[in-house]
Amino acid sequence: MTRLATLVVMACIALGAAAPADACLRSMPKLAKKKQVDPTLRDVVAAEKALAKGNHTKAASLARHAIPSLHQLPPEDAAELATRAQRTLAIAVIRSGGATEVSKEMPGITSADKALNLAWAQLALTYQAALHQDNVIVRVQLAEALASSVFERDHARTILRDLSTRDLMPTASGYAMLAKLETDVVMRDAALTRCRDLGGTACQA
Amino acid sequence: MSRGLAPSLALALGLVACSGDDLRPLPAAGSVAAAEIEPPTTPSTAPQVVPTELAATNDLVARGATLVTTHQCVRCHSIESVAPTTLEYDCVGCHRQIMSGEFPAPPADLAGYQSRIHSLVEVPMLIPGDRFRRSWVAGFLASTHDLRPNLEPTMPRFALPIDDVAAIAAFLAPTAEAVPPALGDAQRGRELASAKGCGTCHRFSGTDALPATPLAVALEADTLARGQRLAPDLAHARSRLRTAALVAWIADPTALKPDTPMPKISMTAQEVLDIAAYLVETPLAEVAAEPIPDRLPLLTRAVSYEEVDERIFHRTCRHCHSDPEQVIGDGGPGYSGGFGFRKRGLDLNSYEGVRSGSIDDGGQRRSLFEPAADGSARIVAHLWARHVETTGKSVEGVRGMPLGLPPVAPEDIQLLETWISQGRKPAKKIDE
Repeated sequence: MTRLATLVVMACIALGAAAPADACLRSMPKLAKKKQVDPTLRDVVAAEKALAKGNHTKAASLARHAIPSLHQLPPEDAAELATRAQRTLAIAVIRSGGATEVSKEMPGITSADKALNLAWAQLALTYQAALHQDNVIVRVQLAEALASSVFERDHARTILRDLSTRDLMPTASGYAMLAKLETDVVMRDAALTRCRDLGGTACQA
Repeated sequence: MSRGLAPSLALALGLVACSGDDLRPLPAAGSVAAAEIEPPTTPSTAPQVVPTELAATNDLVARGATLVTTHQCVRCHSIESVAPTTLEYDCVGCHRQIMSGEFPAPPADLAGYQSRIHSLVEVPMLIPGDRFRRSWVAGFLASTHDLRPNLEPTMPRFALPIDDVAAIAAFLAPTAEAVPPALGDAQRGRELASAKGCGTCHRFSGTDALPATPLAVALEADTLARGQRLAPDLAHARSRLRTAALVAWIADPTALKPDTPMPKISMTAQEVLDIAAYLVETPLAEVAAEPIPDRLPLLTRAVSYEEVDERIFHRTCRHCHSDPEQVIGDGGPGYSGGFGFRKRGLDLNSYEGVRSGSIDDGGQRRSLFEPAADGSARIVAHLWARHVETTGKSVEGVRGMPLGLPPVAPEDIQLLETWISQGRKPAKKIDE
């Protein structure tokens, strides 16, 4: 928890939030009260669909268009849709190896840019997982982000193992990810089997 | 909770709702005295002497006024003197807007919604007053049962602490009960109820059926249809209504509740007392519960998530169990908590949500597919428990779902069980 708090403080200061971390966290309920307008919902849904189809650039573009301040932690305006959009952007960044633009200041072109973007995505999902501690889907997204860092793979594996053991894995891709991270051969094979049983394309090969 | 326990609980709550010695027995004089009735030849559910109720304490009433919002009664009921909720949380208000065409949605979508809505439109407004027995309100909140035979049941089976139940009952029935009048002749009352056409709308379970004689007054077709949907089973009248209020209601229902579809029927004061006597004094035979349907075997054909979603999750469950990030409002009491239930975080609005389980009493997530005591998946056990509940019984440790609504058909549970047995595969194109 101390580690998480540090991350959140870093996020709020480094990525543009003017207030200190506690104000940053307290602002979420206010954000949640704001009404959404249809164009925002439409763009966020389109972004999620683009991500599901593997079109990271389009997904990120739609998400940023929906919520312009998406790079901030937490997003400056909007409510539930902002958190959805931010997760979409973060996953797009992770799946593109950091090459997806987070903001004009974070274009994801050079190696340093990509590393920064990956760090941002990991931080964003860590923050979101803290916000939505009950949400299994966000935990799987966090695991995906953590798995992109060699230093956090054990953490990612722990999250996914826990969900698999308790029969709470929400998607086949979660099992596929676990199979890639698993060090135990028996557990890896079990994860692959469950992924294939669900018809996941990531584990068909 | 069994129905057998409900009357004693109701009485106990009535005692809680009042303070100390503020209950008094009905006067023994007059034809209302239950002891004077010949014992029925079959087991009777008729209450014996029902004590009149004194005023509830102000503190209790005030607490109840707060609790009707806290426990989300306002999701379905308009309550006099209580601020309404917003449309995002107002199940009945939303349904009514859809049915009237006011809901802001494309016409095609609206038509689709309208074709599927068949409940939570006709919900009575609650007016705190002296019509209902406080003990009955408490018993109903503690153990709800079907009240209106021609309306699909929708009252949730709450999980309310007993003192909260007492406070809400005190808020809804705060006043002292008027001394009941001496009632008339029950046999004559039956003849009058038959002649006036009460059986056109009302059932009176446990007694000889009333004939469907035309009503003594002409009603518009819409009003008559609404009256038939809302008409309560008269078997509940004696425990539900205070006797003086029952008499006043029979004499002129619109004077007590202007929007009621029940018409004022011209009667003498004696005729009113005769009908009241018929409703209060007629012995009630035990009504056999509908049998629990047989469980159907697994299907041999493939069952897709889309089918299960269309038949069960999308049609029913998601209204109370949705991730608030994905829907308007708070995701419903089955996600965010309410009706006395803690937050369960159960999202049945998406495949990933269904696979994500729900939060148990210990705060841990558990799979919906882990085996329940009967060996079936937990989610299936909840659906079957609702069938059991409709017989007046319950399954230990398993709350019937959908909460308070008609049970999911055995054919649809069969679909769900088959889908589970076939590996709970996702819809096409949902993953990756």
